[in-house]
Amino acid sequence: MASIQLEKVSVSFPVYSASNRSLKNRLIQSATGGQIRADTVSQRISVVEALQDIDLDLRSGDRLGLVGHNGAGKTTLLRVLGGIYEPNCGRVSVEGSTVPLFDIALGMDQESTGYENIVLRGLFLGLTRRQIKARMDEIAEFTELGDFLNLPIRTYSAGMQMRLAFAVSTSVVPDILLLDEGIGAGDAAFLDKARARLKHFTEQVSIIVLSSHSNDLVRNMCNKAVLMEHGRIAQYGPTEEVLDAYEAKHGTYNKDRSKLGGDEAIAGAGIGRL
Amino acid sequence: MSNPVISSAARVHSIDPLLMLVSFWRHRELILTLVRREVIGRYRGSVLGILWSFFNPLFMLAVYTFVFTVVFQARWSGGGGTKAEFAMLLFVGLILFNLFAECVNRAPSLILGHANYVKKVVFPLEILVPVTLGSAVFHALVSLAVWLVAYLLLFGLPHATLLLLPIVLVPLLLLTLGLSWLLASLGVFLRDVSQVVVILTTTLMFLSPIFYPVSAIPEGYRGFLALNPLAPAIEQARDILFWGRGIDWGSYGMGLIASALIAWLGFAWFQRTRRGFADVL
Repeated sequence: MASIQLEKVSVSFPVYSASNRSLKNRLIQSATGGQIRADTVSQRISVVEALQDIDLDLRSGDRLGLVGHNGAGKTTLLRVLGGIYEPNCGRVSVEGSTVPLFDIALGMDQESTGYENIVLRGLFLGLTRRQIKARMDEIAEFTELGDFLNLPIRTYSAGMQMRLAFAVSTSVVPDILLLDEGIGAGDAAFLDKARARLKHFTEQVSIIVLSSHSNDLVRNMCNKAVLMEHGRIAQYGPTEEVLDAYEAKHGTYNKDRSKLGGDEAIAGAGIGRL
Repeated sequence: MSNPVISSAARVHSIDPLLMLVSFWRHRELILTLVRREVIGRYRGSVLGILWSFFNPLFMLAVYTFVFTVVFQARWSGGGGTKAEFAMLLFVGLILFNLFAECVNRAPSLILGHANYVKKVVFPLEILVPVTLGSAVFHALVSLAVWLVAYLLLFGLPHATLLLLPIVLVPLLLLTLGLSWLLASLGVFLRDVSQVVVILTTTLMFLSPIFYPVSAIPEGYRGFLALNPLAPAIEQARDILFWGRGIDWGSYGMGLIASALIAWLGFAWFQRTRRGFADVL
C-alpha cells in the first residue's frame, strides 16, 4: 500500500550571497543535529520560508493536484515528496516506490544512440539492465522510430527525442508518481497513442501528485486538489471546490489562460505541456 | 522546532562504511554504463577516437624524457643510466599520478556540473565519484598496455611481480575515492576549491617521486615525503613493474589501512553534507 503523510512540514532556504556559501552552517548543523539554523548563526543571511506547516495525508487511489501562483511552493512540495529537499521540521513519511518525473529526458545523452539511451534512461529510473532488456522491444516499437534508434539522438528532432523519453519514462509503473506540469509527448499524430499509453500508465499508479498551472489538466487528472498560497495550504478538498475558489479569487487571469491553452489541454487529456 | 523525522529508504544518508560497498554493488550497472559513456563520450566524433588515450601519454612521456634526460642530463640513481630506463621508470610514476590527478581535479565540479541530478531526481550522487575513477582507471590501463609493449621491446619479458599490480593499486584507488568525495562536496559550497586543487595537484606532481626515486631526496627532507600519500604507491609500482621486487607488506598494510580510513572519511563527509547540495545549487 502506497501512502504519503506529511505532518507540520516546513522548508526554508537560506539565501546566500555568492561569496558566502553554507558550508560552515552545514557543518554546525550536522554537529548539532540540525537544531541551529543559518539565520541564528548569522543575521546577515535572509531566509525564504518556502513551505510552512504542511499537513497532508494521501492513500492509494488519490490523485492530488497542486495549484497556486508562481512561488507558492508547489514545486518545493513536490521535491519534498520526492526526497530531494529535506524538511527543516515536521514529519515526512512516504511509503512506496516514488518516481519524480520532473524532466522525462533526464540522463539521456545526445551522443548516444536511441537504444543506448533507452538503457541509460531506464537505469536512471531505477531499473536493472535485465528489466530494461525485457522492455526494450515494447519501448522501441512504441516510439515508431525504427532505424533511427541506431543513430545518436542529437540527430533527432525535438519531437522524436520527446517520444523516446516519454516511451521509456512511462514503461515503469511506480507506486507514487510526482509530476510537474504534466508530460509532453510530441506531435499531434503521436498524441492519440501517447494519450492511451499515459492513461494506462497513470491508472496503474497508486498515488499521483501533479503540480500545474492548467486548471483543465488538474480537473482531468485529479480527484483532490490543494491550493497553495505563500508556502501554506490555503484550501484542500475535492478538485472542483478548490479550483472554483481559486478561479473566483483570480478570476479573469485564469479564465483567459484556460481559454488560451484550453483546446490543447483538453485534447491532451493530461498530456499537454503548456 | 522539532527535529525532522524522515522515513523513506532513499532519504537516509548513512555513513556506514559498508554502505560504500553496498552502493557500489546496487548501482553497478549504472556505474558501468556511465563509465562507458564517459570513456567513449570523450573522444566521440574525433577522427582517431580512443587512440587519443594512447597518444596522449605517449607524447607526454616523450616530452618529459627529452627534458629530463637530454636537457637536464638526469640519470636514475641506482639504475643503469640509460634513457630507456629513465623513460620507463618515469612513465610508471606518471601513470599513477595521472590516475590520481584526473579524478581529484574533476571532483570539485562533479556535483556542480550535474545540478539536475541533485534537484530533479533522486539520484545516488555518491556514484559520480566512482564513475570518474572508473574512466581514469580505464585510461591508466591503456597507458599500462603501452608501457608493457615498450618494456617487451626494450627489456624483454616482464617480471612475474607484475601480477601484483592490482594489489598495489588498491590503496591509491581508495585514497583517490576518499579525496574526490571530500572535494566533490566542498566544491558545491566553496567554488574556489577547483582553483586550489589544480594548484595543489601541479605541486604534487613535482613533489612526488615521479621524475626521481625517493632515494634521490636528501635525508633531511625525506620525512616530508612520508606525508605524501602518492609516494609509497608510486615506489611500490616501480618495484614490482620494473625492478622485479616484491611488496613490503608491512608498509603496504599501513598504507592500506590509512587509505581505507581516508576513503571512509571522505564518504562520511559527502553523506553528511549532501543534504545541503539542493540548497545552494
